[in-house]
Formats: sequence, structure tokens, C-alpha cells
Amino acid sequence: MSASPAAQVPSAAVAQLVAELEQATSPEELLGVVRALGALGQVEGIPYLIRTFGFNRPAVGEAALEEVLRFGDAAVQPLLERIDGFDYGARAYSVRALARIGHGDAYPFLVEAIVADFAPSVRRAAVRGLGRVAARRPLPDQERALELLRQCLSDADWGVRYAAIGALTDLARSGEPLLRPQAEAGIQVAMDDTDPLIPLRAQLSQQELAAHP
Amino acid sequence: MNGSTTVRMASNTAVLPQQLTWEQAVAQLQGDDLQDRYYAAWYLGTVRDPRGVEPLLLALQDERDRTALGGYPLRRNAAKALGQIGDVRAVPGLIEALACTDLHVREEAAYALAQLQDPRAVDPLLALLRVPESEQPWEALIEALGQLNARRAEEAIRPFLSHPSERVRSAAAWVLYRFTQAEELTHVLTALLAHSNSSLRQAALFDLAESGWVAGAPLLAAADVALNLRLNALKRLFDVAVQLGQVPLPQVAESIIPQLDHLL
Repeated sequence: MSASPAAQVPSAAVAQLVAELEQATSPEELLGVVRALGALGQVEGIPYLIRTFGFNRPAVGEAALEEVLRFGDAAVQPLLERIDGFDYGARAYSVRALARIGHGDAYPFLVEAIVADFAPSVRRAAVRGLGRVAARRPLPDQERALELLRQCLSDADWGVRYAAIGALTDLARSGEPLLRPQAEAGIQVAMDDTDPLIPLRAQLSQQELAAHP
Repeated sequence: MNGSTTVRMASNTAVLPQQLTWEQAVAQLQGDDLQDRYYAAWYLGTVRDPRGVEPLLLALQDERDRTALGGYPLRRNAAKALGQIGDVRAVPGLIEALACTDLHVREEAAYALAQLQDPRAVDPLLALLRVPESEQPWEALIEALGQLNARRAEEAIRPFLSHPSERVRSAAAWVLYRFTQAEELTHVLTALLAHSNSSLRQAALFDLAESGWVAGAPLLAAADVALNLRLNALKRLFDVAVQLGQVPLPQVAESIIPQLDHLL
């Protein structure tokens, strides 16, 4: 018995919702179909949820993101295979999903996005996810992530600096214990940022880490 | 210069800004080519060199660059550039520009005066706001008075809460909220944030940020507006709230940081 047809041919229920997705015109209809695809819980529906990231309806994108996150690790390959190279708005939602799921397979893609993507929303999301994702990779990758995140602390974009604090916190908590002091040192560096938002966020991280020694 | 760079620049000349030295830009501004002059005014605004103030003040009185309808395109760009440079020597010239027959020049002058943060601008702006039968750049006048923190403009701004234009109503609402923190003003902003027109939702997003209403942070995060704009509006709300200092910093952080964390 071959396993592939089940993965490629949508079930009747998914096919029905996909047909509704094609015909939906109002944001309310789109939201309804997105929620139904998520509730169905079938992995065949994931690509269609990802497609709505590119509909340029932020409320629909946010709902689809929530639904994709319900699939957890099962969404990682579909996400990585369908990154939108042209529409940075859509790409940002995919990267946010990968950042939240925190699967190690997203690591090379996130690093590349941080170094090379021109879109701030994509870079910010990639930075935010790097700590979580790197924590599930071998030590050299964690070290590389730590180095990148420390560079991000002096990025011109406040959003990148802000996101780096959350990522360093994740790395300190879930990464290799011997890297924790360096991750914490990075958060301490953020305490001196001239934008008052950044030290406030860093302070929250320090409190969080102090509560989980 | 290596060959590949040359090729890339050549294929993109329509979108890449032409690199000028400050001296070249001033020479172009004072030259005869209308298009070059218009570009040079814009360019001087982007480089923000205070030496640009004097040539731009001259351009603000230009008579040569006219549209078919009598507008003054060069003056509009010069006013905008003077705001970006941020040198208060431009204040008297910009106040004079508030009397220009071109509404768009008055609009750019109002925004530029807001950027210069000089209290001398308050009375002239307020005077324009009090001539309701004329056609004025209402949104710019109201917002400039808000940015200048001109509390005495409150009563003159209040009638604009029932102006036919959504954008004008929204501007009046954020400015008055900054002045009074009256809860009912937030309803004007939240109603527009749910409008079916996406450019009005976007305007409402930043008006809410300007209001400094920190309790509105979750509404900014959930608005049907592009992600990067929601993030930037939340950041702007944070900056405004810190600047106004009416809400204690821990409370500002508590309202805004969870929303930023949710979007990142």
C-alpha cells in the first residue's frame, strides 16, 4: 500500500473547504473557511492555510497562522516548501509560524532570512524564532545562532533588536546549558539600548530567567 | 567601480535616487530645469544638512514652477524638506507659506511646522483653523496643533469631531484625546479602525498610536492592517506614551509588550 495518495489527494472534507475558499469573496467567508480547515485537523489542509497568507487580508492571515500552529511540527515541511519568494507579506506569516513552532529543520532558512531578507517583518520574525529553533540543533549551530543574535542587538531596526532579546531568552532557557551565561550576557547588553523599549523588554526576560534558573 | 554595480544601477535609474553632492543639489535647486529643481528640493530634505535651509527658503517663494491649476509644486517640496531638516530658522518662512494660495503648500507647511516644534507656529495655525468657510488642509492643521501640544486649540478643534471627512474626524479625535484623555474620543478611533476601506483603517491605526491611548494596544495588534504597520504603530504608541508621560512606564510596558510579543 502506498502512503503518498493520502498525502497528496485532499480528503472530501478538505476538498469541499478548498472549493469554498476559491469562492469566498468577503473577509468573513474567508475567515470561516480558514477556521474550518484548522478545526478539521487534516494535514492536507495545511497548504491551503499557507496560501491564505498571500491573500493580503491581515485578519485572515492572523487566523490562518493560528490554525497552522495547531498542527505543530507537522506544519514545518509544508511551510518550508511553500515560502513565498516574491510576496514578503506572505513570507512573514510563514516565518512567524516557523518561529513559533521552533522545529530544528527551520534553522538554515531562518539564518538565511536574518542575513539576507530585505523585508523588516520577515527579518524580525526570523530573529524571534532563531533561539527556539537553534535550541533543537547541535552545539555548533547554537553557537552560530548566539553570535548572530548578539549582532542583532546592534541592528538599526528596533524590531530586530527587540526580537533578539526574546530569542536569546529561549536559547538561555532551552539551549545548551553551557551557552546560557553568554545568552544572558547578550540580554544584559540590551539593557543599555538607548531606545527605552529595549531595556524594558530585556528586564522582563531577566525576570523570566531568574524565575527558571 | 566594478562592472556589475554599474549594470545594476543603470537598470534601476528610475527608482534609485540620483546621488548628488550637497553643492550639486543646491546648484540644481537654483537652476532652470523645473524637474531638477523639484528633485533637488526633495533631495535636500533627505540629506538633512542645515545649510539647505537658506536655498530652500528661497524655493519656498518660487514663482516659476506652477501647475495648470495655479499650484506651486516646488514650494510644496521645499516646505516638506524644511520640516525634515528641522532647523528653526525656517519657522518665519513656513508661517508665511501658511498664507499661500496653494492648499498643498499650506498643508506641507503645517506638517513642517509641527516637525520644527516651535511655539511661534501655534497662533498662525489656529488662525487658519478658525476660518471655517475657507478650504483648508484641516487634517494637517489639527495634527500640527496636536504635535505642538497646543492645548489652547482644544475648543477650535472640537467642532471637527463632526466633520464630514473621516480622516479629519480621526485627527481631531487623537489630538483631543492627547489633550483630555476623554474615553469617548477613543470610539471615533476604534470605529475607523474597523472601516471597510483599508487606507482609512491604516490612517486610524496611526491616529490611535498618536493619541497615546495605551489601553488601545490590543486593538492595534488585531487590526486588519499589514503586519509591519501594526508593529510600527505599536512602537509609535509606546514612544508617544513615554513622551507624554501621563501613564506610568510599567503600565505602558504591560499594555504594549505582550502585543509586540504576540506579533513577533
